[in-house]
Amino acid sequence: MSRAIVAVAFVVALIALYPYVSNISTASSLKGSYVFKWSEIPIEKRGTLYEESLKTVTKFNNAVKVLLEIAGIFVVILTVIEYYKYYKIHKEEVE
Amino acid sequence: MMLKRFSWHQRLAHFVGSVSGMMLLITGLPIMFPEHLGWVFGIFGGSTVTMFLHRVFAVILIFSFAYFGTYFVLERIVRGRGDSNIKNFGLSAEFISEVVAGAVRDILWTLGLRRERPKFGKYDWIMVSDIYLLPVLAFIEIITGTIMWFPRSFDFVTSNPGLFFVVRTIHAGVAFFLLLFVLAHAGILHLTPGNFPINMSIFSGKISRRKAEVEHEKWVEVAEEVEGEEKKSSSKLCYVFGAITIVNLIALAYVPFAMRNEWLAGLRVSGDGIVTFALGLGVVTLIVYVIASVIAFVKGIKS
Repeated sequence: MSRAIVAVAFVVALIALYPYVSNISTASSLKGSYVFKWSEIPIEKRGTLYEESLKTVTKFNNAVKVLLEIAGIFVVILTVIEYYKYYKIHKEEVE
Repeated sequence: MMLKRFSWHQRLAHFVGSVSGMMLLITGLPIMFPEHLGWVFGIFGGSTVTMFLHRVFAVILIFSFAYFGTYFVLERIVRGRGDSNIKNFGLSAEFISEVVAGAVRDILWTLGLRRERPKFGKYDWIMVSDIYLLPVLAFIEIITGTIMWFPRSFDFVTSNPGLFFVVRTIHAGVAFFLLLFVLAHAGILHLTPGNFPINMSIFSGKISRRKAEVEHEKWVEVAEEVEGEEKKSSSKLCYVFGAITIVNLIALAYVPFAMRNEWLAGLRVSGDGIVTFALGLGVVTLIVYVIASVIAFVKGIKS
């Protein structure tokens, strides 16, 4: 059964990898222009789309910044507490 | 006396996932912080090679995510949960409330507000959080990374190129959080007294019965005994490295406060001594951890 699980997992992984491996050189920035450009958008839509996306990007930038500020403080507090916990546990182990 | 703590697949998943993940951070963070981490490009021979390596490690991470994800789910369905205390894939309300209660009691004990430390099974609350949080974050990075890698394959980007930058902000933000996560994870599980300089259980798959009896009391009775020799660690240097990690995390926690919203350019940070120190030390630490992981994995195979 173990071998069957390995085989199924391996096939799933190969299928998941296929699009990446087959495009590793063709779709990479190493080959030049791959990012979709504003110039490819019809000129009559460009202004509106640019304004809309500017609003969306600004919202996301602000949200990510706030989340990172909170996460940073949380991680520091948790690390200090957990470090102290292992110090206490170690003291118990030694005793 | 030693107990079998992790299977071969768990050890391999940790090794491949952590090394590829750390390499992705090392090769990716300089894009978000070119002013502070530009020197990383120099190490790898320029930005073009660094970005190519970023994609190579992304492929390794995706393989590891798909392979080990499928393996562990199938293994759980076929063999049941074995000696693990994670019930119903961790999705039941009963299990979640058990984890939350364990976390609260454990923190209260640490702070001296509770007499007895709660008893844990194979995985305590912080390990359960790691087991669930990390794949979720990796999945977000894989999806957003894929969109940035193949933007022309996604209609929402081709119809509005501005949304590409939303995806990039999420990708970079999660990457920055992962840097904090890795440093905290290693600081807690490897650089603490009794574990320093490296907690070998995830590399060798074994833990001493004495240590397990204190840290995973409920698990000991169902754990399998294996051969092996316990190595005790009593170096006081752990406090020095622990302090360095905490100082690094405090400095990194300052970085988001120094970030500016520069619209389509994303979140940018200008030249700042603390930011340069925090990011530089963080990336150097990651490089050390990659080397240490490889050495520990090889040692773990031999043990």
